[in-house]
Amino acid sequence: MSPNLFERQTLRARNGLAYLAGTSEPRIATTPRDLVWQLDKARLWRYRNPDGPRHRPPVLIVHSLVSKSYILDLLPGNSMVAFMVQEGFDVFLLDWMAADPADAENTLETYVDHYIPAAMAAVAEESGEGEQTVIGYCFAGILTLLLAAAHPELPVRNLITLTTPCDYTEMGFMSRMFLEGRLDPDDVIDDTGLVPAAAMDEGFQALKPTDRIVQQVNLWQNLWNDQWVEGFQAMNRWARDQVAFPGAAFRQTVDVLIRRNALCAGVVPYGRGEVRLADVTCPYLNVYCEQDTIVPARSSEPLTCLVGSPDASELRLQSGHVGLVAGRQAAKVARPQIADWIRARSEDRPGSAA
Amino acid sequence: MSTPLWRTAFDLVERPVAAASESWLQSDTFMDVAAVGFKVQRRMRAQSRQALEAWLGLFELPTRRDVSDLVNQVAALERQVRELRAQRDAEQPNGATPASRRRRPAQGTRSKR
Repeated sequence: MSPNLFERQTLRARNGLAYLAGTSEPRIATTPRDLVWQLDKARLWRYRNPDGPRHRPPVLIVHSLVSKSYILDLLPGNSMVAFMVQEGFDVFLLDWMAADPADAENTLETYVDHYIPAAMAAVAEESGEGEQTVIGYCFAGILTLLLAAAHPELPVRNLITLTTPCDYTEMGFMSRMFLEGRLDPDDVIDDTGLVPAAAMDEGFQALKPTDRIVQQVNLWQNLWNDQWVEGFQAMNRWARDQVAFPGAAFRQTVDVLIRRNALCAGVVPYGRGEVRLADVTCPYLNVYCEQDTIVPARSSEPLTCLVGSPDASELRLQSGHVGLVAGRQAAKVARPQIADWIRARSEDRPGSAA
Repeated sequence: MSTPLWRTAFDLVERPVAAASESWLQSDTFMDVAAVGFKVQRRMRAQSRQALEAWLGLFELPTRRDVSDLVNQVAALERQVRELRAQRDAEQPNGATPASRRRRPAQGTRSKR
Protein backbone atom coordinates (compact mmCIF):
# COMPACT_ATOMS: atom_id res chain seq x y z
CA MET A 1 0.00 0.00 0.00
CA SER A 2 1.27 3.46 -0.86
CA PRO A 3 2.08 5.73 2.15
CA ASN A 4 -0.12 8.73 2.90
CA LEU A 5 1.02 12.31 2.40
CA PHE A 6 2.44 12.74 5.91
CA GLU A 7 4.33 9.43 5.82
CA ARG A 8 5.68 10.28 2.42
CA GLN A 9 7.06 13.64 3.59
CA THR A 10 8.70 11.96 6.58
CA LEU A 11 10.30 9.33 4.36
CA ARG A 12 11.36 12.04 1.93
CA ALA A 13 13.08 14.00 4.71
CA ARG A 14 14.83 10.88 6.01
CA ASN A 15 16.02 9.70 2.59
CA GLY A 16 16.96 13.24 1.55
CA LEU A 17 19.20 13.67 4.59
CA ALA A 18 20.78 10.25 4.03
CA TYR A 19 21.33 11.10 0.37
CA LEU A 20 22.92 14.46 1.13
CA ALA A 21 25.10 12.95 3.85
CA GLY A 22 26.15 10.16 1.50
CA THR A 23 25.33 7.50 4.08
CA SER A 24 22.98 5.46 1.91
CA GLU A 25 25.30 4.26 -0.86
CA PRO A 26 23.84 1.12 -2.44
CA ARG A 27 25.83 -2.10 -2.49
CA ILE A 28 26.59 -2.73 -6.14
CA ALA A 29 27.91 -5.83 -7.95
CA THR A 30 27.09 -8.28 -5.19
CA THR A 31 26.58 -11.48 -7.20
CA PRO A 32 29.18 -13.99 -5.94
CA ARG A 33 32.00 -14.47 -8.41
CA ASP A 34 35.61 -15.63 -8.68
CA LEU A 35 38.48 -14.08 -10.55
CA VAL A 36 39.66 -16.95 -12.75
CA TRP A 37 42.12 -15.28 -15.11
CA GLN A 38 43.86 -12.00 -15.67
CA LEU A 39 46.22 -10.55 -18.21
CA ASP A 40 47.49 -6.98 -17.86
CA LYS A 41 44.30 -5.04 -17.02
CA ALA A 42 41.90 -7.64 -18.39
CA ARG A 43 40.02 -9.64 -15.75
CA LEU A 44 37.87 -12.70 -16.30
CA TRP A 45 35.22 -13.33 -13.65
CA ARG A 46 33.15 -16.47 -13.30
CA TYR A 47 29.83 -16.16 -11.50
CA ARG A 48 29.02 -18.86 -9.01
CA ASN A 49 26.07 -21.06 -9.63
CA PRO A 50 25.23 -23.05 -6.48
CA ASP A 51 23.19 -25.63 -8.43
CA GLY A 52 25.69 -25.86 -11.27
CA PRO A 53 24.99 -24.68 -14.80
CA ARG A 54 22.11 -26.41 -16.59
CA HIS A 55 23.01 -25.32 -20.12
CA ARG A 56 26.02 -25.46 -22.34
CA PRO A 57 28.02 -23.80 -23.82
CA PRO A 58 29.10 -21.16 -21.27
CA VAL A 59 28.27 -17.49 -21.82
CA LEU A 60 31.11 -14.98 -22.07
CA ILE A 61 30.04 -11.36 -21.65
CA VAL A 62 32.62 -8.91 -22.99
CA HIS A 63 32.22 -5.52 -21.41
CA SER A 64 32.53 -2.18 -23.17
CA LEU A 65 35.73 -0.13 -23.12
CA VAL A 66 33.87 3.06 -22.27
CA SER A 67 32.22 2.27 -18.94
CA LYS A 68 32.48 0.19 -15.80
CA SER A 69 31.17 -3.34 -15.80
CA TYR A 70 29.06 -3.17 -12.64
CA ILE A 71 26.12 -1.99 -14.76
CA LEU A 72 25.73 -5.68 -15.65
CA ASP A 73 25.44 -6.57 -11.96
CA LEU A 74 23.96 -3.38 -10.60
CA LEU A 75 21.87 -4.37 -7.59
CA PRO A 76 20.43 -7.54 -6.10
CA GLY A 77 17.21 -8.14 -8.05
CA ASN A 78 18.38 -5.87 -10.85
CA SER A 79 21.35 -7.73 -12.27
CA MET A 80 21.79 -9.11 -15.75
CA VAL A 81 24.48 -11.60 -14.74
CA ALA A 82 22.48 -12.83 -11.71
CA PHE A 83 19.50 -13.42 -14.00
CA MET A 84 21.62 -15.39 -16.47
CA VAL A 85 23.05 -17.48 -13.63
CA GLN A 86 19.53 -18.21 -12.32
CA GLU A 87 18.52 -19.24 -15.81
CA GLY A 88 21.17 -21.95 -15.61
CA PHE A 89 23.97 -20.49 -17.71
CA ASP A 90 27.64 -20.68 -16.81
CA VAL A 91 28.42 -16.95 -16.92
CA PHE A 92 31.83 -15.36 -17.41
CA LEU A 93 32.50 -11.63 -17.58
CA LEU A 94 35.53 -10.14 -19.32
CA ASP A 95 36.19 -6.80 -17.68
CA TRP A 96 38.80 -4.32 -18.96
CA MET A 97 39.13 -2.22 -15.79
CA ALA A 98 40.00 1.47 -16.20
CA ALA A 99 42.65 2.07 -18.87
CA ASP A 100 45.85 3.73 -17.68
CA PRO A 101 48.81 5.18 -19.66
CA ALA A 102 50.25 1.69 -20.25
CA ASP A 103 47.09 0.93 -22.28
CA ALA A 104 47.31 4.12 -24.34
CA GLU A 105 48.72 2.30 -27.38
CA ASN A 106 46.14 -0.49 -27.31
CA THR A 107 44.40 -0.71 -30.67
CA LEU A 108 41.21 -2.56 -31.58
CA GLU A 109 43.47 -5.41 -32.74
CA THR A 110 45.03 -5.58 -29.27
CA TYR A 111 41.65 -6.49 -27.85
CA VAL A 112 40.36 -8.61 -30.74
CA ASP A 113 43.52 -10.58 -31.55
CA HIS A 114 45.09 -10.76 -28.12
CA TYR A 115 42.94 -10.31 -25.05
CA ILE A 116 39.59 -11.79 -26.10
CA PRO A 117 41.03 -14.99 -27.65
CA ALA A 118 43.18 -15.45 -24.53
CA ALA A 119 40.11 -14.96 -22.33
CA MET A 120 38.15 -17.44 -24.45
CA ALA A 121 40.94 -19.98 -23.97
CA ALA A 122 40.69 -19.39 -20.23
CA VAL A 123 36.88 -19.84 -20.34
CA ALA A 124 37.35 -23.11 -22.25
CA GLU A 125 39.88 -24.35 -19.73
CA GLU A 126 37.81 -23.26 -16.74
CA SER A 127 34.48 -24.65 -17.96
CA GLY A 128 35.76 -27.65 -19.88
CA GLU A 129 33.58 -26.61 -22.83
CA GLY A 130 34.95 -25.86 -26.28
CA GLU A 131 32.29 -23.56 -27.68
CA GLN A 132 31.00 -20.37 -26.14
CA THR A 133 28.13 -17.93 -26.49
CA VAL A 134 29.72 -14.50 -26.71
CA ILE A 135 27.87 -11.31 -25.74
CA GLY A 136 29.35 -7.88 -26.50
CA TYR A 137 27.87 -4.90 -24.66
CA CYS A 138 27.89 -1.52 -26.41
CA PHE A 139 31.36 -0.83 -27.87
CA ALA A 140 32.41 -4.40 -27.04
CA GLY A 141 29.79 -5.49 -29.57
CA ILE A 142 32.13 -4.10 -32.24
CA LEU A 143 35.05 -6.01 -30.74
CA THR A 144 33.08 -9.27 -30.71
CA LEU A 145 31.86 -8.77 -34.29
CA LEU A 146 35.44 -8.17 -35.44
CA LEU A 147 36.48 -11.23 -33.43
CA ALA A 148 33.89 -13.49 -35.07
CA ALA A 149 34.77 -12.14 -38.53
CA ALA A 150 38.56 -12.13 -38.19
CA HIS A 151 38.91 -15.36 -36.23
CA PRO A 152 36.67 -18.06 -37.69
CA GLU A 153 38.89 -20.61 -35.92
CA LEU A 154 37.63 -19.45 -32.50
CA PRO A 155 34.76 -21.49 -31.03
CA VAL A 156 32.04 -18.83 -31.03
CA ARG A 157 28.78 -20.83 -31.00
CA ASN A 158 26.44 -17.81 -30.78
CA LEU A 159 27.04 -14.08 -30.89
CA ILE A 160 24.90 -11.35 -29.32
CA THR A 161 25.57 -7.63 -29.53
CA LEU A 162 23.77 -5.31 -27.12
CA THR A 163 23.23 -1.68 -28.21
CA THR A 164 26.21 -1.75 -30.53
CA PRO A 165 26.86 1.17 -32.88
CA CYS A 166 27.20 0.48 -36.59
CA ASP A 167 26.12 3.49 -38.64
CA TYR A 168 28.13 6.33 -37.14
CA THR A 169 26.36 8.99 -39.20
CA GLU A 170 23.39 8.35 -36.87
CA MET A 171 25.35 8.65 -33.66
CA GLY A 172 24.62 12.31 -32.98
CA PHE A 173 26.64 15.06 -31.35
CA MET A 174 29.85 13.27 -30.31
CA SER A 175 30.26 11.43 -33.56
CA ARG A 176 29.46 14.45 -35.73
CA MET A 177 32.09 16.57 -33.98
CA PHE A 178 34.69 14.18 -35.40
CA LEU A 179 32.89 13.08 -38.55
CA GLU A 180 32.85 16.54 -40.06
CA GLY A 181 36.40 17.38 -38.97
CA ARG A 182 35.52 19.93 -36.29
CA LEU A 183 37.65 17.99 -33.85
CA ASP A 184 40.53 15.60 -34.38
CA PRO A 185 41.28 12.71 -32.03
CA ASP A 186 44.40 14.50 -30.76
CA ASP A 187 42.23 17.40 -29.57
CA VAL A 188 40.81 15.18 -26.84
CA ILE A 189 43.73 12.84 -26.14
CA ASP A 190 45.76 14.02 -23.15
CA ASP A 191 49.52 13.99 -22.37
CA THR A 192 49.38 10.36 -21.28
CA GLY A 193 47.79 9.18 -24.52
CA LEU A 194 44.29 8.58 -23.15
CA VAL A 195 40.93 10.21 -23.74
CA PRO A 196 40.25 11.33 -20.15
CA ALA A 197 37.17 10.04 -18.35
CA ALA A 198 35.98 13.65 -17.90
CA ALA A 199 35.95 14.17 -21.67
CA MET A 200 33.90 10.99 -22.10
CA ASP A 201 31.46 12.20 -19.43
CA GLU A 202 31.09 15.64 -21.06
CA GLY A 203 30.42 13.96 -24.39
CA PHE A 204 27.66 11.78 -22.95
CA GLN A 205 26.14 14.71 -21.05
CA ALA A 206 25.96 16.71 -24.26
CA LEU A 207 23.67 14.10 -25.79
CA LYS A 208 20.85 15.06 -23.42
CA PRO A 209 21.54 18.50 -21.96
CA THR A 210 18.54 18.68 -19.61
CA ASP A 211 19.08 15.18 -18.26
CA ARG A 212 20.79 16.23 -15.03
CA ILE A 213 17.93 18.55 -14.09
CA VAL A 214 15.33 15.91 -14.94
CA GLN A 215 17.22 13.37 -12.83
CA GLN A 216 17.14 15.68 -9.81
CA VAL A 217 13.43 16.33 -10.29
CA ASN A 218 12.77 12.59 -10.57
CA LEU A 219 14.75 12.10 -7.38
CA TRP A 220 12.67 14.70 -5.53
CA GLN A 221 9.44 13.15 -6.74
CA ASN A 222 10.42 9.63 -5.65
CA LEU A 223 12.60 10.44 -2.66
CA TRP A 224 10.13 8.77 -0.28
CA ASN A 225 10.56 5.43 -2.07
CA ASP A 226 13.57 3.58 -0.62
CA GLN A 227 13.80 1.09 -3.45
CA TRP A 228 13.61 3.80 -6.10
CA VAL A 229 16.30 5.88 -4.38
CA GLU A 230 18.60 2.87 -4.17
CA GLY A 231 18.20 2.19 -7.89
CA PHE A 232 18.66 5.88 -8.71
CA GLN A 233 21.85 6.12 -6.71
CA ALA A 234 23.33 2.99 -8.28
CA MET A 235 22.45 4.08 -11.80
CA ASN A 236 23.55 7.66 -11.21
CA ARG A 237 26.86 6.51 -9.81
CA TRP A 238 27.47 4.35 -12.87
CA ALA A 239 26.50 7.11 -15.29
CA ARG A 240 29.07 9.48 -13.74
CA ASP A 241 31.69 6.77 -13.30
CA GLN A 242 33.28 6.96 -16.75
CA VAL A 243 36.65 5.49 -17.63
CA ALA A 244 39.45 6.76 -19.85
CA PHE A 245 39.66 5.38 -23.39
CA PRO A 246 42.96 4.24 -24.96
CA GLY A 247 44.16 6.91 -27.39
CA ALA A 248 45.27 4.52 -30.17
CA ALA A 249 41.91 2.74 -30.18
CA PHE A 250 40.20 6.14 -30.18
CA ARG A 251 42.17 7.29 -33.25
CA GLN A 252 41.10 4.11 -35.03
CA THR A 253 37.50 4.60 -33.94
CA VAL A 254 37.46 8.11 -35.38
CA ASP A 255 39.33 7.25 -38.57
CA VAL A 256 37.81 3.89 -39.44
CA LEU A 257 34.44 3.69 -37.71
CA ILE A 258 33.33 7.33 -37.68
CA ARG A 259 34.91 8.99 -40.71
CA ARG A 260 34.89 6.01 -43.06
CA ASN A 261 31.76 4.50 -41.48
CA ALA A 262 33.38 1.16 -42.22
CA LEU A 263 31.05 -1.00 -40.15
CA CYS A 264 28.08 0.26 -42.10
CA ALA A 265 29.90 -0.61 -45.32
CA GLY A 266 30.45 -4.12 -43.96
CA VAL A 267 34.20 -4.05 -44.62
CA VAL A 268 36.48 -2.84 -41.82
CA PRO A 269 40.17 -2.03 -42.40
CA TYR A 270 41.84 -4.20 -39.82
CA GLY A 271 45.51 -4.90 -39.11
CA ARG A 272 47.20 -5.09 -42.48
CA GLY A 273 44.07 -6.16 -44.29
CA GLU A 274 40.37 -5.97 -43.70
CA VAL A 275 37.55 -7.97 -42.16
CA ARG A 276 34.09 -8.46 -43.59
CA LEU A 277 31.03 -8.65 -41.40
CA ALA A 278 29.65 -11.12 -43.94
CA ASP A 279 32.22 -13.57 -42.52
CA VAL A 280 30.26 -13.70 -39.25
CA THR A 281 28.39 -16.94 -39.85
CA CYS A 282 27.43 -18.11 -36.36
CA PRO A 283 23.88 -17.52 -35.03
CA TYR A 284 23.62 -13.80 -34.31
CA LEU A 285 21.26 -11.63 -32.27
CA ASN A 286 21.32 -7.83 -32.58
CA VAL A 287 19.68 -6.19 -29.56
CA TYR A 288 18.98 -2.46 -29.63
CA CYS A 289 16.66 0.07 -28.07
CA GLU A 290 14.13 2.55 -29.44
CA GLN A 291 14.79 5.20 -26.78
CA ASP A 292 18.56 4.93 -26.77
CA THR A 293 20.14 8.39 -27.00
CA ILE A 294 23.74 7.13 -26.79
CA VAL A 295 23.51 4.50 -29.54
CA PRO A 296 20.29 5.29 -31.44
CA ALA A 297 18.34 2.37 -32.88
CA ARG A 298 19.00 3.72 -36.39
CA SER A 299 22.72 3.22 -35.79
CA SER A 300 22.48 -0.41 -34.57
CA GLU A 301 19.79 -1.59 -36.98
CA PRO A 302 21.96 -2.32 -40.06
CA LEU A 303 24.07 -4.94 -38.26
CA THR A 304 21.43 -7.66 -38.62
CA CYS A 305 21.64 -7.52 -42.41
CA LEU A 306 25.41 -7.01 -42.60
CA VAL A 307 26.45 -10.25 -40.93
CA GLY A 308 26.61 -13.38 -43.06
CA SER A 309 24.83 -15.63 -40.59
CA PRO A 310 21.81 -17.53 -41.92
CA ASP A 311 20.43 -17.36 -38.36
CA ALA A 312 20.57 -13.57 -37.78
CA SER A 313 17.77 -11.95 -35.84
CA GLU A 314 17.12 -8.77 -33.92
CA LEU A 315 15.41 -7.71 -30.74
CA ARG A 316 14.07 -4.16 -30.74
CA LEU A 317 13.19 -2.97 -27.26
CA GLN A 318 11.30 0.00 -25.89
CA SER A 319 13.99 1.18 -23.50
CA GLY A 320 17.09 3.34 -23.26
CA HIS A 321 20.74 2.40 -23.47
CA VAL A 322 21.04 1.40 -19.82
CA GLY A 323 17.45 0.19 -19.50
CA LEU A 324 18.45 -2.75 -21.65
CA VAL A 325 20.60 -4.31 -18.94
CA ALA A 326 19.24 -2.71 -15.77
CA GLY A 327 15.73 -1.59 -14.91
CA ARG A 328 12.13 -2.72 -15.20
CA GLN A 329 12.18 -3.09 -18.97
CA ALA A 330 15.33 -5.21 -18.71
CA ALA A 331 13.77 -7.51 -16.10
CA LYS A 332 10.43 -7.95 -17.87
CA VAL A 333 11.44 -8.07 -21.51
CA ALA A 334 15.11 -7.85 -22.43
CA ARG A 335 16.72 -10.43 -20.16
CA PRO A 336 14.07 -13.16 -20.59
CA GLN A 337 14.10 -12.79 -24.38
CA ILE A 338 17.89 -12.84 -24.56
CA ALA A 339 17.97 -15.91 -22.29
CA ASP A 340 15.34 -17.65 -24.44
CA TRP A 341 17.35 -16.94 -27.60
CA ILE A 342 20.51 -18.40 -26.08
CA ARG A 343 18.67 -21.37 -24.61
CA ALA A 344 17.22 -22.24 -28.01
CA ARG A 345 20.78 -22.38 -29.34
CA SER A 346 22.28 -24.27 -26.40
CA GLU A 347 22.00 -27.78 -25.01
CA ASP A 348 21.08 -29.08 -21.59
CA ARG A 349 23.99 -30.41 -19.63
CA PRO A 350 23.83 -34.15 -19.05
CA GLY A 351 22.34 -34.87 -15.64
CA SER A 352 20.93 -31.37 -15.15
CA ALA A 353 17.26 -30.79 -14.41
CA ALA A 354 16.44 -28.37 -17.23
CA MET B 1 -0.74 6.96 -8.23
CA SER B 2 -1.46 10.13 -10.17
CA THR B 3 1.30 12.51 -11.24
CA PRO B 4 1.54 15.54 -8.92
CA LEU B 5 0.53 18.87 -10.37
CA TRP B 6 3.99 20.41 -9.96
CA ARG B 7 5.47 17.53 -11.96
CA THR B 8 2.97 17.95 -14.76
CA ALA B 9 3.87 21.65 -14.89
CA PHE B 10 7.60 20.85 -14.92
CA ASP B 11 7.15 18.34 -17.76
CA LEU B 12 5.14 20.86 -19.73
CA VAL B 13 8.09 23.24 -19.62
CA GLU B 14 10.92 20.71 -19.77
CA ARG B 15 9.81 18.72 -22.81
CA PRO B 16 9.85 21.55 -25.34
CA VAL B 17 13.03 22.98 -23.76
CA ALA B 18 14.75 19.58 -23.99
CA ALA B 19 13.61 19.08 -27.58
CA ALA B 20 14.77 22.56 -28.56
CA SER B 21 18.13 22.22 -26.80
CA GLU B 22 18.75 18.79 -28.33
CA SER B 23 18.05 20.05 -31.84
CA TRP B 24 20.16 23.19 -31.18
CA LEU B 25 22.96 20.89 -30.05
CA GLN B 26 22.76 19.01 -33.34
CA SER B 27 22.94 22.20 -35.39
CA ASP B 28 26.06 23.07 -37.39
CA THR B 29 26.24 26.47 -35.70
CA PHE B 30 26.38 25.01 -32.21
CA MET B 31 28.91 22.35 -33.20
CA ASP B 32 31.16 24.94 -34.85
CA VAL B 33 31.01 27.14 -31.75
CA ALA B 34 31.56 24.16 -29.42
CA ALA B 35 34.59 22.97 -31.40
CA VAL B 36 36.18 26.44 -31.45
CA GLY B 37 35.38 26.90 -27.75
CA PHE B 38 36.91 23.53 -26.94
CA LYS B 39 40.11 24.33 -28.86
CA VAL B 40 40.43 27.83 -27.36
CA GLN B 41 39.93 26.41 -23.86
CA ARG B 42 42.57 23.76 -24.51
CA ARG B 43 45.05 26.32 -25.85
CA MET B 44 44.48 28.71 -22.93
CA ARG B 45 44.94 25.86 -20.48
CA ALA B 46 48.20 24.86 -22.18
CA GLN B 47 49.48 28.44 -22.16
CA SER B 48 48.64 29.03 -18.52
CA ARG B 49 50.32 25.73 -17.70
CA GLN B 50 53.42 26.79 -19.63
CA ALA B 51 53.55 30.07 -17.73
CA LEU B 52 53.20 28.27 -14.41
CA GLU B 53 55.86 25.76 -15.42
CA ALA B 54 58.25 28.59 -16.30
CA TRP B 55 57.83 29.99 -12.77
CA LEU B 56 58.22 26.58 -11.14
CA GLY B 57 61.30 26.02 -13.30
CA LEU B 58 62.92 29.13 -11.83
CA PHE B 59 62.78 27.46 -8.43
CA GLU B 60 63.71 24.06 -9.87
CA LEU B 61 60.41 22.58 -8.75
CA PRO B 62 58.86 19.64 -10.61
CA THR B 63 56.13 20.58 -13.05
CA ARG B 64 53.11 18.72 -14.37
CA ARG B 65 55.02 18.10 -17.58
CA ASP B 66 57.79 16.39 -15.58
CA VAL B 67 55.20 14.18 -13.91
CA SER B 68 53.58 13.36 -17.27
CA ASP B 69 56.98 12.50 -18.74
CA LEU B 70 57.68 10.15 -15.85
CA VAL B 71 54.23 8.55 -16.13
CA ASN B 72 54.77 8.01 -19.86
CA GLN B 73 58.20 6.49 -19.26
CA VAL B 74 56.78 4.06 -16.70
CA ALA B 75 53.93 3.25 -19.11
CA ALA B 76 56.42 2.58 -21.92
CA LEU B 77 58.35 0.24 -19.62
CA GLU B 78 55.16 -1.59 -18.72
CA ARG B 79 54.35 -2.00 -22.41
CA GLN B 80 57.83 -3.45 -23.00
CA VAL B 81 57.31 -5.91 -20.16
CA ARG B 82 53.98 -6.93 -21.68
CA GLU B 83 55.59 -7.46 -25.09
CA LEU B 84 58.42 -9.54 -23.64
CA ARG B 85 55.94 -11.63 -21.69
CA ALA B 86 53.84 -12.17 -24.80
CA GLN B 87 56.96 -13.21 -26.75
CA ARG B 88 57.97 -15.62 -24.01
CA ASP B 89 54.47 -17.10 -23.92
CA ALA B 90 54.46 -17.49 -27.70
CA GLU B 91 57.72 -19.44 -27.49
CA GLN B 92 56.25 -21.96 -25.04
CA PRO B 93 55.85 -25.41 -26.59
CA ASN B 94 52.39 -26.22 -27.95
CA GLY B 95 49.96 -27.31 -25.32
CA ALA B 96 51.83 -25.72 -22.45
CA THR B 97 49.83 -23.09 -20.66
CA PRO B 98 51.71 -19.81 -20.62
CA ALA B 99 52.36 -18.92 -17.02
CA SER B 100 51.56 -15.24 -17.41
CA ARG B 101 48.22 -15.97 -19.05
CA ARG B 102 47.17 -18.38 -16.35
CA ARG B 103 47.45 -16.09 -13.45
CA ARG B 104 44.67 -17.63 -11.50
CA PRO B 105 44.82 -16.13 -8.06
CA ALA B 106 45.59 -18.44 -5.18
CA GLN B 107 42.52 -19.76 -3.38
CA GLY B 108 43.03 -17.40 -0.48
CA THR B 109 43.11 -14.34 -2.71
CA ARG B 110 40.10 -15.17 -4.83
CA SER B 111 37.49 -12.51 -4.77
CA LYS B 112 34.53 -13.97 -2.94
CA ARG B 113 31.49 -11.83 -2.80
